[in-house]
Amino acid sequence: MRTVRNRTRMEKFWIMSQGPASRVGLRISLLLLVAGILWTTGCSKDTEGIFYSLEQEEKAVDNTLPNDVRITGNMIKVTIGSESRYYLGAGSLFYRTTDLADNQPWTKIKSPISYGIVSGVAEVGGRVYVSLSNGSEHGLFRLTSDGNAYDLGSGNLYSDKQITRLFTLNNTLFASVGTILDDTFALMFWNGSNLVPTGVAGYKIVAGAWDGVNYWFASPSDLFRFNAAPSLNGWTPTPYYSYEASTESGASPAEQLNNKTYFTDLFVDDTDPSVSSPPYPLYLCSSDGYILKTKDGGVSWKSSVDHNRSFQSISKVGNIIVLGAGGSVVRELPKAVAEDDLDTLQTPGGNFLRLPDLYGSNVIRVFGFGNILYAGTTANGLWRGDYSTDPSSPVWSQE
Amino acid sequence: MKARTILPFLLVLSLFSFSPSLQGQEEITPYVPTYVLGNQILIINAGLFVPLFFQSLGGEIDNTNLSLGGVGSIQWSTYLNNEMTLGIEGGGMFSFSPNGRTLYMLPITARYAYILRAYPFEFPLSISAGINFTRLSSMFQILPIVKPGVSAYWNYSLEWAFGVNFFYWWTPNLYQGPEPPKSQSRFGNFLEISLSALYHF
Repeated sequence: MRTVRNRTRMEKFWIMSQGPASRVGLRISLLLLVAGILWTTGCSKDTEGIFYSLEQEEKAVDNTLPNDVRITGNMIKVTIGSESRYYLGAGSLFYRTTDLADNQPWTKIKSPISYGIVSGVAEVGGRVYVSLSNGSEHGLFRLTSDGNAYDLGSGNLYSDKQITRLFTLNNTLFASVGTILDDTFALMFWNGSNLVPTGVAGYKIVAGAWDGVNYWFASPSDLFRFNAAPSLNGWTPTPYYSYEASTESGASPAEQLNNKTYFTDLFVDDTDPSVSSPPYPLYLCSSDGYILKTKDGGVSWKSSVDHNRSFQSISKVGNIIVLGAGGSVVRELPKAVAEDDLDTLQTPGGNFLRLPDLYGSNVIRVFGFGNILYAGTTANGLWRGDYSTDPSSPVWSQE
Repeated sequence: MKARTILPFLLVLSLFSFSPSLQGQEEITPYVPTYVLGNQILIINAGLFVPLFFQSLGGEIDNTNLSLGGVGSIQWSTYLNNEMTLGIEGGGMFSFSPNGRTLYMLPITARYAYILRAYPFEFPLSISAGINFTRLSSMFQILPIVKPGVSAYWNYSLEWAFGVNFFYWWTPNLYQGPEPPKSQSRFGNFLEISLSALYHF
């Protein structure tokens, strides 16, 4: 048994501690106890129950694409021979089959330029074209007919300037060339043997689309519309809409476009069930929070409210328009197709909010292929949202 | 059977608690402290957090999918009499989901304990109730929590005691709908196994 040498000291402590402070502590304890009992439910703005969310969580599937890559170019779906493939610019060029089985890996194609970064990938006439640059050396290359390697036999098809965007519209390959460093922006097109200027110069083209009647191109502050096929310097570089012109003269094709700027992407919905013939609906998004839509080739426009999001890219999955929303990751416009409602914006459902590497990422590109959506990030690789089973509850996984 | 197992164990521990230097000093009176209203204790706990299961309103049991976690807390109590204490406790836990989400729960509770003694051992039977600040990613709620438990302390000195706690965390996560719907209500069931350092003052 333990003993004590100074019993008086202990007793003194006990007497000292029986003061008003203890009574205050007692009251606080009782108050907390009552508050805890009364607090039967908490307040929440969550869309999903916390414990329920944990209960439903499953480890996300992760394919072989590195999880920390930046999506530097676009993504296309191509049929080569009997195989359907995805090609993706993620620093290097990667491809995989469109068979979504987990055992279908991504394959990296070695760059013909040392440390070349892919800025664009596009398909014309069954061949895949890829633009690359390492800052000092630039190039446009074609893949071999089997799509497995760069066709070094045909060499570098264009090396004058850096290609920043590469896309195919109406079976024609377009390239936006030039950087802010040399300030010699130009829109080029592939005439079958070379990249040649369209005539649009001095504007940094960031996106293009074909609505079945018109070619549309967007620079950050301008929109261009052409209904004639491209030819060597055949297009006059006069914007259909210009932010500067609208602010200076008030002239604008449509009131809804007034003062809109910071355009980032265009998308034509050629699968809108309500539109049987072109022009198909065109969507335009901007990094200052707007989405615009025209269903009549640009005669009239509808604008969203300011969503206060930095929209970087726009596409469609299933019957839902989706936006790559930068730090806001991915947002859906569930009523844009059927009701032209550009104001109802929502976060994807399913396991989206159970994947911190996804909802904590910065999405700069979205690519929709039927019911499959891909979201390209700045540092968290590529994510796939499978909307095929239930559009309101897509299954997300990491490529 | 239990007594046969526990008594030798207690006996061995009791022997270790004797200081050889004091055993020969028969002139010192053995002393078992008695506590009265106003005597206070401060306890620091740290240990493991074991996720057990979630239960729906319908009674279905399901896995939490959480990893083994960590828990820590600090508690202050005052004696109501020699057998009972009442105090407050604040602490926190963390645990990870399969995709790396972190669940944090920070309960603040009022704690009542009834103490069984076999000096130098004490066995507080306790119950805590209060509020539980719960965060999972961007989701946050303040939930009610009840924590019944049992502890075993060995009094090293009149000031200090050390022990182990087994606290059951029962925290309802209830919704009225429409979002989140009522069907997503769950009762969280967890177990805290922690070590304690207790200081009398």
